[in-house]
Amino acid sequence: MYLEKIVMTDFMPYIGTQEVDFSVTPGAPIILIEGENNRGKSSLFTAIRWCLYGRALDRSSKAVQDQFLLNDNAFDLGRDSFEVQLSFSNNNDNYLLTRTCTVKRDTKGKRSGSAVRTFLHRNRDAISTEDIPRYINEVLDESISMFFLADMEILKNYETLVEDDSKAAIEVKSAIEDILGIPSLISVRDALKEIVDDTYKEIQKKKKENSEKSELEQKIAEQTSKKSNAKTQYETASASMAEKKREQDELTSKLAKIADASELIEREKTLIEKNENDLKSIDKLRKEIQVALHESWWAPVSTQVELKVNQTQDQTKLASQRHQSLSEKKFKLTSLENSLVTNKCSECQQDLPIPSREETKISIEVLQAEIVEMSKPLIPSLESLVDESRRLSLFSMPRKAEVIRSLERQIRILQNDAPKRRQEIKEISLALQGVNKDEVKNLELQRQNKDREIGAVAMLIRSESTKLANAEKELTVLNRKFLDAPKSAGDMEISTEMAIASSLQEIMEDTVSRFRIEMKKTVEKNATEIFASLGSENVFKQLQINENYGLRLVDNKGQVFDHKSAGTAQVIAISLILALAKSAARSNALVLDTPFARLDDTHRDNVLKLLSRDSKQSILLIQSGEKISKEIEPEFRKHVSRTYKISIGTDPKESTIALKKQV
Amino acid sequence: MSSESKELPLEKAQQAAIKSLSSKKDDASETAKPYLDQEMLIGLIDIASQSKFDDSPLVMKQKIRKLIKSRIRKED
Repeated sequence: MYLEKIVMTDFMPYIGTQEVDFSVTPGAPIILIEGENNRGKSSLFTAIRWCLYGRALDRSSKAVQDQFLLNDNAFDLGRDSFEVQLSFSNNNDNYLLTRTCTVKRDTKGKRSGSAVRTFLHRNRDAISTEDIPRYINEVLDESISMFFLADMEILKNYETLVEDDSKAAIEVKSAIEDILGIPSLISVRDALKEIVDDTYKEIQKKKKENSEKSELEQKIAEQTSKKSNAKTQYETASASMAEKKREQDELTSKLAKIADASELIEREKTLIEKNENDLKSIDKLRKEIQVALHESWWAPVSTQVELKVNQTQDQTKLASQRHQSLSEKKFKLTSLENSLVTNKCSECQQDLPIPSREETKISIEVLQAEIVEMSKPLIPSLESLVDESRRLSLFSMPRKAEVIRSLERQIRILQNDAPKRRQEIKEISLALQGVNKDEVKNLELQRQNKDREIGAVAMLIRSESTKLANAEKELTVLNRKFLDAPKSAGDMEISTEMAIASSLQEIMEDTVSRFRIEMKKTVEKNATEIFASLGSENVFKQLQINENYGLRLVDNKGQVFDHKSAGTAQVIAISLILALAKSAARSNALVLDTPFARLDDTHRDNVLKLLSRDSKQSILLIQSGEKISKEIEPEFRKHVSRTYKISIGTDPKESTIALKKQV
Repeated sequence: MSSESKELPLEKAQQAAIKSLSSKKDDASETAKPYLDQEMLIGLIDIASQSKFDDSPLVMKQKIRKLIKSRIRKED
């Protein structure tokens, strides 16, 4: 980080706006700022630190409250705020940092608090307020700033500062390691340790997952077996079903062919049964009629009626016999008459002899007489008997006439259907001629059995189908889990990664130690060279660095030299600062507050020569009147880009800073 | 005004790492040995030297894991 410019407004002793240009030209890395004691050199130094980190320290390293950084006269004049603006560059980026503080007044008009606002622009881009500290620490970490914004009043005791385990010593040690870049390696080592821990956890997790994965594999195998069994059963049942359906189809086909016969058989069976039932019913009804007649007729009339009926029947029989006999006699008479006409026998067709002709005439006469006799009406006549019977029946109307009539109606109804049914049965019988009724029945039975078998197989298929579907569903879930489970190749990679990270961690641990030792040697070597170049003594062999980055002076005999000299301590501190600047991971501007306070002319001249030659930018806040020896001054001035002088203002509380006119 | 960024003194760090590798490699696990070489160490020092202010420890860890994994896959 290199400083470009600072603009202060009402900051500490600086009244109004004061501007200092820190930019340097190539070959002239020095900015000199001269001032009397208590005029504002350290205040300018404080302004830089306050602007960068928002903290101001007094000479005893104690924090100064912001409200007291406002110039007294400005406050008295009613101005309530002060500001420091710092321009600087880092890695080709340009920064403008502005910190403004507004001071509050209490009722008595005294300072009672403050509010600070900070603005940072990088390459003209505004940085958010919360990110500003990170950006500033990236540019120049506050922890290491003590060696670049060096207050020599503090660092003069550097040797004793690092010789204990105090907080200050730890901070200094940490700052030096930061400057040397050691934390970068430590962070890699720590990252490797974390990687080992992370990968270990991942491996443990994967082991657990692998265990679950094995269980999954076992479950998948079981489920696959179940699925396979279900599938086999399903396929067998399906094949059986197909066979049975085929057989059923055959039966159905056969039955279809004789379907009509089958129906006819059934119809015939039904009709016969109906007929039989009707006959039974008729018998039953007749018996019921007889019972009813027996129960209801009046006995005397009943006897007469019975007598008349018997007479009627006898007469009817007689009439029938007479009618038949009459027909025979008429036929015989006709034959005999024909025989007489033809003179031939009606039976043998032989010529009739004379006696026979006579006999025939007699026979004709007898027959004629008999026919006349038989043609007379019967006494009593059949009609009269029927009328008599009807009359008697009407007279002796049975008590159960209605019942009997009803029974007779039923009989008539039953008898009415019977001829039709008989005719139908007859027709069916004709149609079924040549049909084997047993075969039809057998086929029907077979088909019924087949239906039952198919039903059982269908149930089996449904059961196996459900099992198969469940097995497949379960397998899908298990397979998805299995696919989500880590792959063994990944497990191998993580194990290898852990092994590598673990080994690298050990190597980096060793590397940090080696690098620290190496950097210490470098700092020690650089500090020794710088110390040698700053002094004129040749009794000191080297500056030796210890574990705490403390520097001890070792004489030519190899003994630690306890110098007890403030000047030597200052030279050692400057040697360390310059050695660190030379060894640092980054190059930075050096701002040295009163670097020559305890140095003799020789050492001062040597420091100036060294800074002129080796630094990129050195801002030296020096006391007015500190003389630069005439031997080096002309050459030194060539390396000074600018010289400022801090002057007292019109009031002792005011200072101004302005370019010093070169004499 | 010129500016310079030396960052981590790279060569010194690399030298230290390579020396550590020589002395520690024999103690490393057989699994890790094939991957422990200068290339790996230089890669690590690069990550250390390139770490920016906004690189969180997590980012650095990711970079290192990436380096290790790429080496594993390269060897495979």
